[in-house]
Amino acid sequence: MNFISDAAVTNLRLAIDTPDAGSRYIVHELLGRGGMGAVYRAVDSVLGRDVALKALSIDADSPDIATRLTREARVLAHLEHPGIVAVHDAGILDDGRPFYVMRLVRGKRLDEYATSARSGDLLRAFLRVCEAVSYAHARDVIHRDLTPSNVMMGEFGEVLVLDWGVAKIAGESPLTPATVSRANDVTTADGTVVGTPGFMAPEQAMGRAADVDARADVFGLGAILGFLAESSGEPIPRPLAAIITRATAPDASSRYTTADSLANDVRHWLDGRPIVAYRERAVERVARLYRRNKALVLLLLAYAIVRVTILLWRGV
Amino acid sequence: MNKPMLGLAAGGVLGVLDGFTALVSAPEVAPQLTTIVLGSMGKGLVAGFLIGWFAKKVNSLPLGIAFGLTMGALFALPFAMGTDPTTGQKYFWEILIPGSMVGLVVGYLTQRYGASVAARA
Amino acid sequence: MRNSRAAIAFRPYLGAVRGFPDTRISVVAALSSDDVPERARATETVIAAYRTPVIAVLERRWNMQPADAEDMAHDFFAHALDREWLARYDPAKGRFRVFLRTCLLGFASTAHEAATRQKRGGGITHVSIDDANAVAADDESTSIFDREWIRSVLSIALSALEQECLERGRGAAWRAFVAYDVEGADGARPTYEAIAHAEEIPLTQVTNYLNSTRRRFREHVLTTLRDLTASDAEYRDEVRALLGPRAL
Repeated sequence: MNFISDAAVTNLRLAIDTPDAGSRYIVHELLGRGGMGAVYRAVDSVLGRDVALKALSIDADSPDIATRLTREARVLAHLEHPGIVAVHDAGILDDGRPFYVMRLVRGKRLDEYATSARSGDLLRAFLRVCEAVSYAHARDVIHRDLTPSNVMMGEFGEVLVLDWGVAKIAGESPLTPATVSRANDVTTADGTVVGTPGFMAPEQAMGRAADVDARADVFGLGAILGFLAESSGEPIPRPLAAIITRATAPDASSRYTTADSLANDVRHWLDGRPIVAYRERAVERVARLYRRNKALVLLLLAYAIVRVTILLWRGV
Repeated sequence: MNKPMLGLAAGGVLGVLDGFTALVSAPEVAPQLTTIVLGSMGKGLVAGFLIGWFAKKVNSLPLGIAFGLTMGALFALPFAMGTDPTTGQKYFWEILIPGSMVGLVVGYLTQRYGASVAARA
Repeated sequence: MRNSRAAIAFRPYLGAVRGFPDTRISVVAALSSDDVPERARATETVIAAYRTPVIAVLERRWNMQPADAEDMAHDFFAHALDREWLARYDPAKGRFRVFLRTCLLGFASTAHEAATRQKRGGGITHVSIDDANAVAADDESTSIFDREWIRSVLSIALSALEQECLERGRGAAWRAFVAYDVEGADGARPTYEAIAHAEEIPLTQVTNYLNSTRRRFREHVLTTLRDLTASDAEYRDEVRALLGPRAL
């Protein structure tokens, strides 16, 4: 073979990396890489639609990683919720790597979205994340890696929780195969703890897999809420700070017990109602009631002014 | 509480208050205060119920406020056009304006608060 | 028995890896083998794989003419063999590619200085492996070497693929792959219809040929990388380096 040009080198590198998923899925472009695999935009030639195809990275030949990818597909397939990306298909590439096909979501990750969004929009997006996580908990699945970069803001306002590769299925029977049970561990085969520092509950960071339950995800949600609150650059209101503090309490028993209860406090705060995490002072209560009923207060004030004006006018 | 009932309650309460505050703009009517308050309460109850019923049918803050204002004015008008039998004075604007404003407030309240049928379903 | 300078031959890499037994000892690992023929084969393979990157660095970093760069490359490998640099490579200290690049830079710097001194009437200086490793890599040299290393690995894999296709009577598949993925990358990429017409095959067969040949090409690339690395971790690192920067 004679000298190959730079363009040919680029093209051949792409050809090596691009998975061959058979005749049904035509892979077009790489969308991104993670620790476990790479995600590509592909076309489903049977249904004629764009999909996202996630395949094990070509350099990831560890059996544990392959197991995680397959498991992620299975977990996603059992979670049917608007906030969790739908899995369409799964299989093995011709070169033996596992892959799965899911809905293609176009949009921004939450950490990117937060740089330009208003705080109200961010909190409402956060509530949708809580809904998705709460649903997963109801199906006994704990995400274990909730971070802003694992939440996608779709271009039509969808909020999707991604990357369920290290999810734990709570209460899994000890009779399950060793590989699946090992996937429930918080550590990989070489002892590395899975999860993201700063968003990982202390019990997970310390490798105590048995202690990791839904409250570990509450910690992750609280850390996300803290991230979003800080992204505005403005001081965080005391009640919101109290919610974040409670959700990210080092002791799991001090946190909200469920994602729902965390979401309820955030929702109440947005609606100007009292919250569980914060005991407001009398002045704060009055201020809150005023903010919540500002229009009514102003109307009654206007009525009082009219009455006094009439009096003064009659006096003249 | 559904919207008609909220309108009834708010209209009655604000009608009573409106009656008492007549003393602010016309202190000389103090001897007829009981009559004024009862009349104002009656207006408030009927107008409030109608405004609440409108809010149940039409979900629009501007329209609700406009309807409330109109109902308040319509119910206040007969009283505003009359003459006080004791003082012989007319209190047209002193009755019409506050009465209309009470209707406006009830219109706002019933649009903003109160359970609609859809919400209860 | 050491390889003498006269014994170094720059033969094209043509499936030399298939000379190793199925237990597939890495070529890099075989550089320190006690089996002389095995060590010789491994040395040839390494030289064939790294010749192009070495020459490229010498040409561009030290502004050498192609002929001079080839001579210097020859001298470098001869010196490396003479001093048993390749046999003394320790995988625990880093990747083989980085090791060889560092040796080259040290050798070339010292040789360049010596040549300059000689012009002025000075003597010849020998280079130790420690001196060679002491020269820090600059970004330009690193970039040139790594880029040409990628090109070399791909070329080796292409040669192996070509030989395999010809041996197995898959000439049409090979030509389709070259036309679309190699030569086609430079500009006017032929359509599937054009390829089907040129090879007198059905249109659907073009897709099958490209997919299967890409798959085999990928396997040859990965085999080449396995040969040029001494451990699984190094292999994975080199795969990542070959595939380019991560998108996320």
